[in-house]
Amino acid sequence: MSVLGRKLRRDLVAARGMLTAVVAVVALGIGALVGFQATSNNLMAARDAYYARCRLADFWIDLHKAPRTVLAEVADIAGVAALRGRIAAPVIVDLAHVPEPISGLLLSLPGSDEGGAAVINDIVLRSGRPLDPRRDDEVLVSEAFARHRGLAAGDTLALTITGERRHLRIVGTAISAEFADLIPPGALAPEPADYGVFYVGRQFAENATNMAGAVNSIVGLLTPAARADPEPVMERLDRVLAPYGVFATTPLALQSSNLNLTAELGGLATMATTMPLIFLTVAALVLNVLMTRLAAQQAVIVGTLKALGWADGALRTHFVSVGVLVGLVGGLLGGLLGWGLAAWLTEFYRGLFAFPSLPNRFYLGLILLSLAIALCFAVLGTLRGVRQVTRLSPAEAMHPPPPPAGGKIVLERFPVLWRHLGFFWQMALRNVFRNRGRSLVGIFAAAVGTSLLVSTFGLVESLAYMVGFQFDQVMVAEYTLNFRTELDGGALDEARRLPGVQRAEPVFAVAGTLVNANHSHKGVVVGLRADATLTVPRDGDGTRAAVPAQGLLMARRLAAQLGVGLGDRVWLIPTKGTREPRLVPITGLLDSLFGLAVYADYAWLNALVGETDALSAVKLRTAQTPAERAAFLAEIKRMPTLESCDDLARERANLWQNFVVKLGGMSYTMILFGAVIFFGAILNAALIGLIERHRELATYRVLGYRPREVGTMLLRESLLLNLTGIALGLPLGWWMLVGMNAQYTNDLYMIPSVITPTGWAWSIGLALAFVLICQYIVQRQIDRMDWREALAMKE
Amino acid sequence: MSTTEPAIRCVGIHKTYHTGEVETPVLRGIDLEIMPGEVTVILGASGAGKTTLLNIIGGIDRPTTGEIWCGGENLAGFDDRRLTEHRRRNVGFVFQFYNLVPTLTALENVQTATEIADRPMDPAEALALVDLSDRRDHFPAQLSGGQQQRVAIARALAKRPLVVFCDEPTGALDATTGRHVLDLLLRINEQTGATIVIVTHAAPVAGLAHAVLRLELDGIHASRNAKRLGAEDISW
Ligand SMILES: Nc1ncnc2c1ncn2[C@@H]1O[C@H](COP(=O)(O)OP(=O)(O)O)[C@@H](O)[C@H]1O
Ligand SMILES: [Mg+2]
Repeated sequence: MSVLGRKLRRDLVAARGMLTAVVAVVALGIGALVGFQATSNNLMAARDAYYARCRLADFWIDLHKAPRTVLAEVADIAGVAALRGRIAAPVIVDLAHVPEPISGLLLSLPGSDEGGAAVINDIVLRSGRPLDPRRDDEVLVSEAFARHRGLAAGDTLALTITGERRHLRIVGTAISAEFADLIPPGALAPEPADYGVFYVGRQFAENATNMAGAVNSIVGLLTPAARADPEPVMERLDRVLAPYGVFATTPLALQSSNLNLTAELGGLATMATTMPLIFLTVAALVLNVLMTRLAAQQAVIVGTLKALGWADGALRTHFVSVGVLVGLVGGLLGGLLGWGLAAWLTEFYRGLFAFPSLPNRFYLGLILLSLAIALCFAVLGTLRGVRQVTRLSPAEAMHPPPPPAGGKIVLERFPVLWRHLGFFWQMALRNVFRNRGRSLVGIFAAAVGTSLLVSTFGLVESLAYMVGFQFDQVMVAEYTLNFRTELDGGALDEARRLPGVQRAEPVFAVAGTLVNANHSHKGVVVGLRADATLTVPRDGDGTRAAVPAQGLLMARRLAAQLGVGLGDRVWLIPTKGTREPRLVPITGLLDSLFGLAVYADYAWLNALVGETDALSAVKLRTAQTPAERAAFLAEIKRMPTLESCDDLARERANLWQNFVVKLGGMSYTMILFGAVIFFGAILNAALIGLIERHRELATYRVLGYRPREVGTMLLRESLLLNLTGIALGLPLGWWMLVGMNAQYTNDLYMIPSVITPTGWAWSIGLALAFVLICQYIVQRQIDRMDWREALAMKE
Repeated sequence: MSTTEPAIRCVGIHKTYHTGEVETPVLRGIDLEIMPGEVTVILGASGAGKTTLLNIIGGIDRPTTGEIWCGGENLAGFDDRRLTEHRRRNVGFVFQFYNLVPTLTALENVQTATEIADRPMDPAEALALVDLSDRRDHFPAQLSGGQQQRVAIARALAKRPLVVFCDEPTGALDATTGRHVLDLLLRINEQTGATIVIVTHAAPVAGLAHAVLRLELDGIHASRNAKRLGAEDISW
């Protein structure tokens, strides 16, 4: 090893604490890059393979009932490459040991006469065997539901389909790409134990749903050209199928499972770019400070070596190799860390999404790229310090460095204020202002670290707010009985008489198409009674929105899509019945968080479609003893008209579990990330200052200052920088939170950005705690400082 | 008159420092010759411009105007790269504060010179020359000032330079240690024939030299010592 190499090794050992801190920051940045990107790659690869394997559809059409003969006509529509008609029906699952009725979805698989081409939206068998085409009493159960409910091949399953109870034999379990993320209708999160998909033969489905020779769900593939722009094809499909009552036409991009998967990938992509950027920038800045200091400290040595005839190039290489080393070690550690992070995240997604397989692969290219990025940032971080060294002529370099600009700092121009500060604060302020570049780095690091904390707490609180909002303010009914068809007022009386029911309110939902000029939207208008207390439309900020006596109360998001405003009129074309268009006014707008809701007065809506007292759901408030609850559940299980029963408490528990499990782990990790920024940057700055001012601090000790007093001098400067950084980090964190939430916002819902005073307090408190822990470490160094030697030393 | 070529010959050296708006003329027309194999002492008061002059004739710095002839070439016309080459090949330096690399041992500090030289001594041999063979693995902080300066001298000699420049080599040392260092320089001059230039503000040191150059406000005054003193004979 050359003699300069030996010097380098010893310099590195001497600065090991500080270098380790920088390496840790680099490693986390690269770890985040590799981890999030690899997870994203894993998910995308698994998704693509799964979609291809199941021949996932490009569009879904839900309709009332269409004869199979119409399928040929639909297949001829320009842009449609292939399609399949099937039967989909809501079912109630009656499990022997479960008191509640569980809802699910019955889906038909192709009959034996449809063989040949690969099936669109095919299933992947996970256990057991496929359905036997010669039998019509067999069912395949979605895997997660079977697992949660302990169902297996050989068991008998009781399903209530269109009011009739039927017994089917389970022959296996299956999954399908259209349900990679299976969220029950109306829910916010998957409920694997409380919602299942049941695949049956076509013959059985036709019989059970009175749909002989008919379909109510069409899934199809588009030609490559149409896939790029599905909208015109969707419109043509809509027109051709309109006579059969189209509830919804959904292109792949808006399909629930795919939409959620895409949002998750978007979130990962954001993390894979912002996190590394933040961490590597901080690492580069800290390294910059470190190298500038090293350069200044070694100026005389460098000058001497130059005088001895060492060329600039050799010295530049010498100092740059510090950066190269930091980049290499940080990059390699980060690669390892990232691989572990990817394994952990991928395992997490295995639980969240139902893929046939989701392996964690090793991406050599990604690791090499990350290593290169780490090297770039680290070398960039060293360049300024290096240039400072090699720029000087040997004569200049051997001169003692000039003291930092001794002019007055800005604050000294305000003498009244300045004199009030007192000597020690004046000194601290002077130091902060005179090392301007370094102070800015410190402030930046504190701001970034704080913003990580703020956005983490904010993310958790925003989701908590959303869940709380939905459950405490909007969905206040304990049970919702959804019926398959419209019923009359008798059903309301029947519901009132159920055991333990205190209050029952009818809801009348009219499925239809809202049309304004060339904009249209398929959805549901929800009719509420004026005195309704169990369904409360609210603005995003919680204000209750009154349902007007006439006209529609419409989500502002939907109004924007339709290009209408308050006072305008839209056409409402009901999907069922005569489908006669009605021109209705928009009399209210709603800033709701979720969905594209449209509300109207119960009686008005009834009259509009020529009904009186028709209802499609009943909301219940109860006060039940356990015995009453059991009797209640037993009765609703037997209701032939029931499509599903929403149990608020159960949904709430499920959602909390989902978010707590998901976000708990994530937020601890993020807090750790924030901590590394603080320790990597702030502690480093403090230690650099300590070394640089060794002699100055030793002098104070000689003058009789106690170690604690010397530490307090440094604390004042640290507080000036960090409090400024924390103050800047608060809005920065808020802004990051809004950005992250925007990632998960789409046409259907938005995540409001919310931070409670508790969240702010935790962020500030943790940031301050990190600062104080750094100070504690600095204080210990001061306590142990050999100040006599420091004064004797001649550098 | 001897017919030997001078090792270094300077003609009309001017040096003016520019610090912002302020111009500080330091050297105003210096002519001098350094003869090979001799000990030359440059004397001057503090602030007279001795270090500036030494840096210029040593190839560390460039004059504002003037010529520095060394080996048939004018250093004043050299760019940074050629100056570096010149220092690497031809020149050794000893500084007032030794300027050793604190993280390298005595031997390794000497190696910082031998590693880049064309025909260097064995670094151990250079240390033996300054009587520090037993301290080769000590770090500067473990050596006394005089010992550190001897390491610096070994570092300067080890490349077998044309000229060794010493800027106040005893400035940071007590009188006794200083005399040892000067004695060492004289001995090396006698044993190896190395050309040595010593810059100092201490007039008595001039007694050791073959040639003396007094740097004063009106220029430089050259003289030769008919009879040279030994290091033990002087005090300051
Ligand atoms: N880099 C510089 N910039 C400006 N002035 C300088 C610089 N180096 C030296 N000087 C000035 O030049 C004069 C001579 O300095 P120097 O050669 O170090 O003197 P000596 O070594 O004789 O004590 C002094 O007045 C000094 O202030
Ligand atoms: Mg000097």
